[in-house]
Amino acid sequence: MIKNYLILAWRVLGRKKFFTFISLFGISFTLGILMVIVSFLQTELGTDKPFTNRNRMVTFGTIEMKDMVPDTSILVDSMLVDGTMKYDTTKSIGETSRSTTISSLGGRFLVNNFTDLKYAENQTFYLPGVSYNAYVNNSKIVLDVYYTDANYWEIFDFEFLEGQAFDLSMFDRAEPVVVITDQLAEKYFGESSQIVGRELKMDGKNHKVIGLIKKPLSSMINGDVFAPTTLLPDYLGPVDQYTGGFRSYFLARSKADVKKLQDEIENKENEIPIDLVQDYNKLFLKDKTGTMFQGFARNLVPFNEPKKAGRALSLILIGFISLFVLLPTLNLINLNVSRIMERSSEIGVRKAFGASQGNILGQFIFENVILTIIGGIIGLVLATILIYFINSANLLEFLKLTVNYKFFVYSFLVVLLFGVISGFLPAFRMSKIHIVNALKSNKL
Amino acid sequence: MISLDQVSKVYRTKTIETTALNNINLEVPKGEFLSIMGPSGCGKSTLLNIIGLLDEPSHGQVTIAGQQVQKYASKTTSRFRNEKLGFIFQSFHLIPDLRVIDNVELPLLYRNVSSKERRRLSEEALESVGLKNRMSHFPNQLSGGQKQRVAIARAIVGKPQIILADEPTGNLDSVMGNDVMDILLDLNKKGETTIVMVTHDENMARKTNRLVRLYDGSQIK
Repeated sequence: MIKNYLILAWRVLGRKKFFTFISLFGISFTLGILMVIVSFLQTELGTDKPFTNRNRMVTFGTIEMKDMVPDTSILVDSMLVDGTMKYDTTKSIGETSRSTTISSLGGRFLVNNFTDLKYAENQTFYLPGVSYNAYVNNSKIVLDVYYTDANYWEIFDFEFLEGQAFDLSMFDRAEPVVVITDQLAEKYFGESSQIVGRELKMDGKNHKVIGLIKKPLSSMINGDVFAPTTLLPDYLGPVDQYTGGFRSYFLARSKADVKKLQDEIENKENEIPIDLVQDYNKLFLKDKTGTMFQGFARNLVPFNEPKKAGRALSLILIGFISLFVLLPTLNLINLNVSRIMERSSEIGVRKAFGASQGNILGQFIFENVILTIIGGIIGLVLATILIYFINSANLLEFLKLTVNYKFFVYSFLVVLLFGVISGFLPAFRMSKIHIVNALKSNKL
Repeated sequence: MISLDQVSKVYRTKTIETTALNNINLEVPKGEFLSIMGPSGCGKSTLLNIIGLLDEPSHGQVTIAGQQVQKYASKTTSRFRNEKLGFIFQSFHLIPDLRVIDNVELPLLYRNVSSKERRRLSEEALESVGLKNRMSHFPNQLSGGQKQRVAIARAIVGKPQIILADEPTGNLDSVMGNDVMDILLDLNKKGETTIVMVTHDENMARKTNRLVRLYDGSQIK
């Protein structure tokens, strides 16, 4: 039966070459683009290493401080009553902000206030985006350095190719050690194996390489060297410094605790004393907290509030992908209706000789799935070429898209869904056609 | 083998009601070759469709091989058609994208038959209509008579007890028509297959066991 359907599907596709071309073009183009999107989302939002804990991660990035002063405003209202001008005066006493600062976080601020959260199993505070120049064989290499604590390695589970991360005692002793990525190893040492134990010169000092990790594909982590924060002099900054260049990630005890952890962090707004800080008297954790997805969303949509941003990005993504899939699906349904209508006589014959509604439905969906699989394969090739192009032209900075196993499975599922949806409706309609009417159409 | 008891068929639209068949009573014993004649629009094809379970009567009862079939749910009816009935149409209704052999094995696709067995049975059916050498051709490479012989092979490949032929010689010249008729007569005689044939051709009808005439949906006694 399958062989018979396959032969028929193949011949039907060959018979209407233009139709087949239009369909295949639509499917492969749509899927190609969709696969690139899937790959992008998979890389940015998937739970591949080092983001295995992504579903439990909560991030929190900036604070806002204001200098609030009392403010009195007087509103005078005038009106004409019996030819005489009357005045009504309203005096309101409130507050106004004289000075505002919005900044990322200071290390000491984080350590002092966010290490004992009830719903957090663990937390890491780290300083990304420090860069040094290094010179190898007379050419300059920029070292992108992340200064991290020891917890960093527990929250982000990097794939270690060699060695290991620094632990708490090494951190506390401020040992000059680093973990580097394979990409940097290739550039710095000219090879990416047997790196552990070698020395890396950074900031004029030698650092011992104790671990080699695979460079993450995601744009969330774009460092190449990871060193203990304690190597920096006075890394936490002065006591009254609430701002700084730090980032924070918290790991909720369970997925269910994520919301509670977010609330707990938000509530800190009212608990943290502000009297230490000069020039400001009020603190807002204004952009609040968010999950990794929400943090990612804030970079893309014009909402500062993470939850809103997350929701907006979800809606945009769902809408965009739905539209992207819906349009060619509708188009395909339309094409399929006319294609299947032309074969109503065949449906009549098949039914007369014992095909059930399910058989007919199965046959046409099968044909459509074959069409979409062919389109999918072309789309996959297209996507691979596109991804190769995007990567080699470095269109997305710090982000390397990849064609991996998961990506293929997702794409294949999308292809199947596509085939079933676009084949089902017309096939269902035609499978219900009355045999006598189908035979009358006489189009064989 | 076939029994129709007061069968009527009425087509209704919003404004008009057309009686296609009016109180038809018909008994076709096993092994009979019955022809149905009548002017165009008299209900011949409707009658054949009702016997073939392709259409349901508005009133009355249809019993085939001892079973009242119009009560069957759709899947059961499909199986019943597949196992007990074979169809031959005036315009052949071969699937142009399939080779002759694939067209012939079509009824077997809906049975639990292995592909090897399907192939064997289809070759056997094609041989019995003298077209085994054409099995890899496509329908558009055949003459009208050959197409109808392929359609006969398709109708008999599942060894049905009843064959329903709707003007099988209608689109053929007299030589080809006679060839097709000879095959049907042979099937009826040797295979004891019950055949009901609708025809316009008096000469063809005379070759069969019995002739029933219809006029305006009613049977002429």
